[in-house]
Amino acid sequence: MINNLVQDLLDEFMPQNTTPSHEYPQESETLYNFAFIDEDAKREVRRKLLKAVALPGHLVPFASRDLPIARGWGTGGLQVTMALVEPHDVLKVIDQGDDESVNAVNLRRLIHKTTGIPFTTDTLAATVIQTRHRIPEERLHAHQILVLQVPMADPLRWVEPHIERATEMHAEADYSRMWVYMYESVVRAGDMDVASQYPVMVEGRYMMDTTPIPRYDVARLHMAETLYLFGAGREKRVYAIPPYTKVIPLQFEDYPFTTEHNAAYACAICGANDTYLTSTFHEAPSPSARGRWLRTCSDTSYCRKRLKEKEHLLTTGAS
Amino acid sequence: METWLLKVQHLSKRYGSRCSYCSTLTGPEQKNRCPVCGTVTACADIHFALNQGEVLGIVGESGSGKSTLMQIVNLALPADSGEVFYREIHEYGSAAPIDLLTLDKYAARSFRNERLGIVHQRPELGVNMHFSVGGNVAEKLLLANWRHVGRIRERTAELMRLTELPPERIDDDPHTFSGGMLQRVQIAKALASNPAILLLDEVTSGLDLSVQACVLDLIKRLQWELKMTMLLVSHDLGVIKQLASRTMVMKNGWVVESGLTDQILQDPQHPYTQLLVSSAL
Amino acid sequence: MHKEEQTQPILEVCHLKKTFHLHLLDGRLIEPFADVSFRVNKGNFFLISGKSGTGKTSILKCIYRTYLTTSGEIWYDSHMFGRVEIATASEKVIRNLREHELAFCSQFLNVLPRVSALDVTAEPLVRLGVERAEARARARQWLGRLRIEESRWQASPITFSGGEQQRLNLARAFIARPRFLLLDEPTASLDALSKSIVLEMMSEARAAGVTIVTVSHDTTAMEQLADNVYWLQSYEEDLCKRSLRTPPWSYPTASSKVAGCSLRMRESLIWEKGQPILLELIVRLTPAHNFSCLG
Repeated sequence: MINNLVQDLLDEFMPQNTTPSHEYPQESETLYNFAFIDEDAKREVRRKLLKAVALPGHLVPFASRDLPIARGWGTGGLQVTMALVEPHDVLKVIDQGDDESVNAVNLRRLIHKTTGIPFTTDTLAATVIQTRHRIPEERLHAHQILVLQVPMADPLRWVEPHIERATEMHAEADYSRMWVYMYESVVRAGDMDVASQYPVMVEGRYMMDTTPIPRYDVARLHMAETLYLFGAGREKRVYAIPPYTKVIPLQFEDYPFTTEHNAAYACAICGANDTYLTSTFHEAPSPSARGRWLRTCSDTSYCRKRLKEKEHLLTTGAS
Repeated sequence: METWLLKVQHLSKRYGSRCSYCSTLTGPEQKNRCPVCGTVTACADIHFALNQGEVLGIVGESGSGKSTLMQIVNLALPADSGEVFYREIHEYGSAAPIDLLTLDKYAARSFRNERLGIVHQRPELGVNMHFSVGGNVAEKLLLANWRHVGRIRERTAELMRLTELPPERIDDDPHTFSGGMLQRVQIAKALASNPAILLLDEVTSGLDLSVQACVLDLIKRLQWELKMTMLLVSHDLGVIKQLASRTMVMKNGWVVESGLTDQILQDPQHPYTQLLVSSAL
Repeated sequence: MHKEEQTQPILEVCHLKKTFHLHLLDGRLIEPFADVSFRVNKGNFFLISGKSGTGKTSILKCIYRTYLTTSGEIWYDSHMFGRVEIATASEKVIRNLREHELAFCSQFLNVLPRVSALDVTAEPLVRLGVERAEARARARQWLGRLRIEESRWQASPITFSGGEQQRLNLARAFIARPRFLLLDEPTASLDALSKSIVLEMMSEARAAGVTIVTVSHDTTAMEQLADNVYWLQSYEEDLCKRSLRTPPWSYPTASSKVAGCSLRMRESLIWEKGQPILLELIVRLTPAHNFSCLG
């Protein structure tokens, strides 16, 4: 009997059979608030997001909370996502277009542990998409929100290292320094030497840093249906581009904005030549053979979709 | 008959908490610091008019307030009281005058960029050392919404030829330029947007004599060829004699005497002016 | 020259007085001349003569408005503005007159560094709007006429001798044919040949209609050209010569003042060439003060 009592006590304080929660996708971790951060923090982020939406392209400071993920690994975007998700949302997390990269998986695990909401890799099925450094190939709709992770928020940091002076320049819409930087790079190299994080003018008022999305994706920001939200956790800034906003990249009349698109290259998997491609090195299968570089679609879910479509066409065509 | 381009009236600038004794206890015969409240008078009740096509020289020693006056006219410093009227002059008449001190920040910045050009004493104040020479001139043009690189470079080359700079050095780092050449870069930058008034703040102080002569000749030539209206501040009477047709003498923030340059230099009336003229080398 | 032009003189100086107030020398007052009055007709050659130190240049400078006048009037009949009173005219009027009608040739050339002699001479034409190349061509003619060596034309006048600088100065003055020319000691530092060339230039200018007012103490050369002579006598000379010595070409018409004296009254007159007029000079002296002649 005493053994039973002791056993009961032990069971109470040291539960033996705790099943890890990630194996049961429907349960959420009860020690945390829904989406990890508390409701006051979510309210603050949402209020700041509203301000950011009211001033497209303007950097709004917010109190960036501590998260189990280190700074510089997407805490800003994560806080925006956490402030927005509700139990009925469907979430997609990508990193450089890839759903299965390490960072995407980690973020997904954390959100799932604290919310329990379903995940998807299908871009069109998601309601909130958190992304690092890419905008999905498929066109997003008005009911979807794209949350981008931002490393450095201020586009003037190249030309004005002092933050007070840079803030003044933003306030007075005095962007001549940045234009001179563009001019100098054109003169030196024949093209603007900024590959990603290309500065754009939002509604002709604020100059904005488009996070390290490739130039290819900058055009997707202009007059889009969806809401774009940008979060920088380390810098403690959020900014937004509401739907149907004019986003014009900095360009000269005789040196217009160009993208990296090259129709000569196609994806090795699905054969598309109108998507953004990444090169990956494939190891040689045997010591005698050589490894090679392969170009594949950056947006893996889109690539897979296209492949499935092609296969479907082949099978239906064959039958 | 009046063709004034710029008219300054009752302009005052004081630093400190003013008291009622400031205007009576400071002046050209006393100091410029009020003994009661410690306020420093930089400019006190300044009047002058600048006509189109003329060069007005402002002479004074350090502490006379001439640089402060220049900064106020350049709309970089707010004034305590007074008006700075400007009006456009066309062939068929003149527009209504506007008070520049009432312009808001944005309007002041665009006015300063389009209608004024300033050349500072030290080149690093006027030339951004992080950009090339071409970039510096382009800065002013880009602020005026020029967006064609080819046209910007053409205009820059034209300005460099005008100011006797070698056009092939358009992309060079400003650190490789000498002091006199940097002054020319400043002049080219100031002339980029075809300003109505050129403000020259002690442009030749601190330069070597031969370089000084070259820069002065350049300014003279620009005045002849472009009929540029200029406001010239200097403590060197030789420079004033060469360039200015009218002169104003300032002391402790007050205008002590003003008139035609040769009259000021050969027949000075005020004791301070006589002192200045007799001290010139 | 002609009687009908005497009705409207181009320049009329009425009771001109000038006082320098030297604050640096304890407020000392200096009067370079006192109570000068004369008339100049259009196209005339008017000579102001007298010993050095009698304030001749000061009169010229008052007419050119380099000096402010203490009292008196200077009426100038200008082409642009009509009859103007120079002492009270605005700076704008004076500047316009100086640019277009009045020219002043000083005794010493104001040497500008780095400008060649050719450009110095061509400058007045360029300022009037003449093409630089043409202005330079005319400047070459004048410089050649004034016997300045061709090899020196590209050099700055700072390398020239005093006489050469003065010749250059005169070329500058005559090249633009102003309406009214004020010359200060034009032949002072010149040798005989240059002097005759300059006199020739002056008579040519007069024939072309330029009104010239010259200051010179070298009357032997000028008196052939001059229509009118205005002689300034220093106070000391008057003291020495109580009885009037009347050389045919000189007549005391105004006196220069020395510091400390109050104004003297006397009659003034202008000697007309070909019509010498004798006049008694009435001199009234005030009680003697400490006379110190400031020349």
